Amino acid sequence: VTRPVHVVLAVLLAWVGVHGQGREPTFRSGVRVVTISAWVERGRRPLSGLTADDFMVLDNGVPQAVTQLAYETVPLDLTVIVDASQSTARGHDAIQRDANRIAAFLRPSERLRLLAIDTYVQELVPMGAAQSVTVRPLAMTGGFSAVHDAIAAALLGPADPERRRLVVALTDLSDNASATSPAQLVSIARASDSVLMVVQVPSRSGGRTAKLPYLIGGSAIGWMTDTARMTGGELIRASGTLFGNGHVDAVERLIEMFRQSYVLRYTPTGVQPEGWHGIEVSVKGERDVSVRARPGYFGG
Amino acid sequence: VRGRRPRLRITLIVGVGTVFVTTASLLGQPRDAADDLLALYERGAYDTFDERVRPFGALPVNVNAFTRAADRWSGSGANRERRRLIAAAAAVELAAVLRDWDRGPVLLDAGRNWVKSSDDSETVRQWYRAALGAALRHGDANALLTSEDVGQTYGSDAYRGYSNESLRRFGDDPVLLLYRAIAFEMHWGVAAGPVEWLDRDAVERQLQLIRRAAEQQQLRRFPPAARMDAPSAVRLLGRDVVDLSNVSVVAEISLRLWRVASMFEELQRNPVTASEASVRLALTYDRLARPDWAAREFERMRDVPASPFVTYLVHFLRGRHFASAGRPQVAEVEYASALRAVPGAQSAVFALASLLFDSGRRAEAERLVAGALRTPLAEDPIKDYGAGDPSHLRDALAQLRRRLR
Repeated sequence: VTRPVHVVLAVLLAWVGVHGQGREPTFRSGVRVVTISAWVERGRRPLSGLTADDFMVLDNGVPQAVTQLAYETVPLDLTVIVDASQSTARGHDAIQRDANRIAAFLRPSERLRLLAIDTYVQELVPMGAAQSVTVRPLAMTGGFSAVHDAIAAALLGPADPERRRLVVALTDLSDNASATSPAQLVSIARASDSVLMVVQVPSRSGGRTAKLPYLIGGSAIGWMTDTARMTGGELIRASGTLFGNGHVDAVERLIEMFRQSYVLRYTPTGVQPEGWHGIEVSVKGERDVSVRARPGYFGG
Repeated sequence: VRGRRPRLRITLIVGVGTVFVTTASLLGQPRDAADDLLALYERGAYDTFDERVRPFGALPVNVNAFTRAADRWSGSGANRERRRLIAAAAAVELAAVLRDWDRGPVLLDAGRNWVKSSDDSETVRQWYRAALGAALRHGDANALLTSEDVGQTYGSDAYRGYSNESLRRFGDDPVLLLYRAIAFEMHWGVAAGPVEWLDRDAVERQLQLIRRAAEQQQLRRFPPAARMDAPSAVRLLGRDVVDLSNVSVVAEISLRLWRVASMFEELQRNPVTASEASVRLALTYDRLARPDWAAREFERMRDVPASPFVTYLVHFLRGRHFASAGRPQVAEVEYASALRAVPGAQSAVFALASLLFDSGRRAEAERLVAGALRTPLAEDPIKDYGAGDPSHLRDALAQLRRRLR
């Protein structure tokens, strides 16, 4: 049971100064502020140039005033989860090459963290500047896949209020070694301030299909879809050609897409602070525009 | 043409030289590396040996080259009996650190040949413990199940009979018996899914329903998740019943689980294996749809001194029981106790982090998880459940070193 305590980190931390687009905003703690990443598209193209006044935000059905809007300016903390288990086994050199490519794609102000899925979850690259990335070798392997635990670890990662967080998980979704249940994962996602994008990659033959006894595991695509949606992200099913360099391309596309999302902030008014808050975001007077954002947050 | 001859000669010399060097390195280097490893083990230079033979690392020698070289090495020198045992011990040391088990059977088979002619000494007993412990860590049931265990349902070709052989020589050894019981448990006893207990009357009622349906040319299935006592299961395998529907399949599952339970009950009586056997017995009762008996075993084990592996299992599984029973605060205490036994073990970390997160202690959850992702990672007993307590393997390898020094 999820208790109504945790909110997007920004609920506990307030944004103070707006430095305008093109400059990084700064934030200060003390006042409740809700932060939302929102993708706005017309057709299939991102819609730029909107202002705070263009957005309509409903918090539990009550209209809220957007006090801060940023576009492409809030620096990104990217966590990439790679599946190193036998089911999608990739060598250390290949992971290092991929990490270098992803790091090269990031801006100087952006940071990268790399987690690996195997029987154990392992941090191959700690969160840090992406200029030079050294991937640690996998210390212990077993060929099982703790997918849920790895995603929980990424969503539970420490948050910086001046940055926004994207988690990209490249996995075949086959979990057979986690202690975190799918329901717990959804619960963590509801309160996380990260956006989770899950790229479902094809399994390779030879993976371990049995489940470790007395752990939870499973490969419920529905649960994973719910987990991603709770954060404002989604599950993308990759084609068979994604392996090789294709998955790095997918990560780059997601980074680019994430950069083109708006960061909206508002101080909730006219609503009870506790409990689940359903959020609806739309663009005023625009019918052919779609907005994708997290469906809500927990207040406490 | 004449002008080209010196260049041709140089090319030939370089070519022949390259072939010679390459051949020498291919043939000679592995043999040297193998001899080197054996010499290190023989003179007790274990620190250097361990530097070369690291867990999960690349082996310093090709496995086939090692077994050939060790065969030669053990057949030479003054004390050949000791050399054979050293070769067998070094082989099992290599097997124990393999990342993938595909070369493991080659090493164990070679080792078994070297100890075959030795007396039933304590050293040989420890070799079998180490060999079967290494096989168990990699889930190699072929090496661990006896012919009686695998019965007719298991291909005899795949079966190598280590357990038969080791138990023929050391039939009273509790660790070897524990390994066999774990292999049997993992082979037959840990299938997931909900189960339900049927008492004898309920079994009889189900049987009547199936019979009545059969008389009316209808098919009625025995509840596939049903678990029952052994006499009921034997009754279902009787001649008048066995052909009815799926009764024999369901009865066999219960009988196998009772066999697993009886193996662990037996091992509970030996102090070397008592605590691990008890926790496995509790889980077997759970699979037999007797959570009341399982809870009794777990309760009994709470204050029993045990290895970190077993202590962790007891607290982790109690934690999970309380978490699913809607008692998160008690579960939290149990998970924390598990982590005191094996700090950083990821299953307890993630289970506890979820509870902390749910109760609003996000920062605590974050710290806990962050600490568990960094190397060196703690071996998680629940993830190694099928491999048994690793202390038995460590002890056996240490005993071999001590006895062969």
